[in-house]
Amino acid sequence: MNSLLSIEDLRVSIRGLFPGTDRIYPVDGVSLTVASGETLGLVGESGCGKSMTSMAIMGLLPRPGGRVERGRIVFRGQDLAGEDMLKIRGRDISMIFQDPMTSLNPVYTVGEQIVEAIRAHEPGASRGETRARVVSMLGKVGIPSPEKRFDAYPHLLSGGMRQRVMIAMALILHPGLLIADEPTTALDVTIQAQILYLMADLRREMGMSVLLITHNMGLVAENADRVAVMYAGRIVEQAPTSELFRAPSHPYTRGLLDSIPRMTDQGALDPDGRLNAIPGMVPPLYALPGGCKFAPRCQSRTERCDSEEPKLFGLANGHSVRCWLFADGGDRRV
Amino acid sequence: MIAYVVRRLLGMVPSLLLASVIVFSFIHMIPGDPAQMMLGDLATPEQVAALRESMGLDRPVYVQYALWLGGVVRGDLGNSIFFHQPVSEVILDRAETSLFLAVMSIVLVIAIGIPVGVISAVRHNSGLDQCVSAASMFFASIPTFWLGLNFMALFSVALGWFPTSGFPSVLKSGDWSNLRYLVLPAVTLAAPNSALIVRLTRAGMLDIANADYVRTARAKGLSDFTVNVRHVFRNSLIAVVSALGFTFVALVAGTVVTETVFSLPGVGRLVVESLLRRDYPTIQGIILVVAFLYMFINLLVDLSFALLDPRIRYS
Repeated sequence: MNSLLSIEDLRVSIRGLFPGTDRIYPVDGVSLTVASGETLGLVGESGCGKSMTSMAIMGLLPRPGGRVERGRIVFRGQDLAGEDMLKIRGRDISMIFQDPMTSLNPVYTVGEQIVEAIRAHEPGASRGETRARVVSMLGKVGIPSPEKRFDAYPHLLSGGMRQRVMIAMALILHPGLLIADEPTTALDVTIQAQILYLMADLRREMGMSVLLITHNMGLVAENADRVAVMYAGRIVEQAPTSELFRAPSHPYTRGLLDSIPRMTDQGALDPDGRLNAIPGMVPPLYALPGGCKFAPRCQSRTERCDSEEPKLFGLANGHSVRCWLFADGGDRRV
Repeated sequence: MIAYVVRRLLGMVPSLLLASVIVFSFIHMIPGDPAQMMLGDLATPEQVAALRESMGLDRPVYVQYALWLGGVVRGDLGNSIFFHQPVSEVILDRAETSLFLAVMSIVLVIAIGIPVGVISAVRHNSGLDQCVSAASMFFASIPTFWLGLNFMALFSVALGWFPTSGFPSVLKSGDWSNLRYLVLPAVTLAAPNSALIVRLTRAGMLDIANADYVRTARAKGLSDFTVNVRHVFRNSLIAVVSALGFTFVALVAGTVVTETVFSLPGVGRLVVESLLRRDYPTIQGIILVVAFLYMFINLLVDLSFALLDPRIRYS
């Protein structure tokens, strides 16, 4: 498989909240790859390290205090640690964010803000040509009368329109990889679908890869080719999307899927199915348990889970799971 | 926009009226009598009474107010009891010093406060930032008379770079080099006010630095410099500009101590001296003019917000 991005054993630390507290590790030993043209869904609860992983890729860890402790991030065969990230950000790897209402600078027109991205990477670009490119991109992301919207300030646009502007800004230089961090979470449900269709269309058209970060399993099911599930800074399960939904293996993944309300065929809430929430809470990063990080909430835990952290065990069909249940490559689920 | 300005200007009228009523009644509550002050202790009660009558001070306060207000409406602030000339001329005379001083100080405040604040924010928590914070606290805390006297001792007396005191009029002599008289007072006034702007700029920038759109700007591949100037600083300007507006008015009218230290013929000293002389018309005139200036600068600050933030529109 021709991988565009590969992360190898990434460990990220940030400074503790208060002076004198230890550094915490929001990302610890994450390895994943994104192939050319592929969409990888990175799923997990808030605080599981998925956004921190994306910030590490962008070289935008919080400063001061955030740093990569271990591991490599390789993009198009180059270790990003040795690259000038100013040249890569926005040109080769772009990002869109959760909240389009606050992600655009209120004091510049949306056109100016997209032009800025071009100017940062092509200082010689002429004014007229740049404007034409931006207007055409605004049209491409489905903004009506783009010529007029170029001069609009963000507060005059709706949330959906602003997210389209963010997408136009991210894609204006045809990046190889788009990191979409909860791109639809802040939008109305009807707008969510529009934005997702748009992203899928543009991905096909431009042949780029997408790292889709979300906590929404439904979103992943429809949009990702493969899925990686994160918990407490680690990837606990990774598989092609259909495989993951056919045979969710890690107790955490199963818990996540069980906690989605089920519908009957008639579209009503299933009267027999109880909504099974995962018991307990995500442990804080400064007080992680010693063995498997999910053990305290796990219904299948054994003594071994408390003392020893499992590694990722490979299963068939490109499926891997970080759980002792699969230590021999087999499924010993009870 | 024009309609808005007109409405704001009209809205100043009741405020000014209220200010004048308050000032007028407070002044007349102060014990002491201008006629007595002018004639001295040896005057007979008859002489004092005669002068009071000729000055109109024997009439009820509300009549005096009505007469004064009638003059103000026609652009006449009355005559100064002490200077025996129109109050407007007295104020204009002193306004030159105050305005030159205020402009020189505010230029220094902007030139020092904003860049230092920006650097302090960009390098926040560094050694440099801590030095700047310490210096800001120092200059914000020391009294201006102490700073002024030390500047005078160092730069005027010991080094002889600047004159010690006074301010010969630039407008009357046409000699712009007279502005050198105002350099030390301007620096003295700029010190605590710059310190304030440094802190405000720093705090504003650190606040904005965590905004989502700053993250977006970085994700575009913009350099730190561009991000800090175009995105962080630009958005923190609103708080800084409104503080600069208030500072400017305070520099015009509220610099009694510095004016006294450097013996400058400014408006601040005129207020205090007129109070001591019970020069009612002069005090009332100054307060009215300063109140108007305050409201006017406030209006300018509000209008500048529309330039700084496109979300703000006046109609």
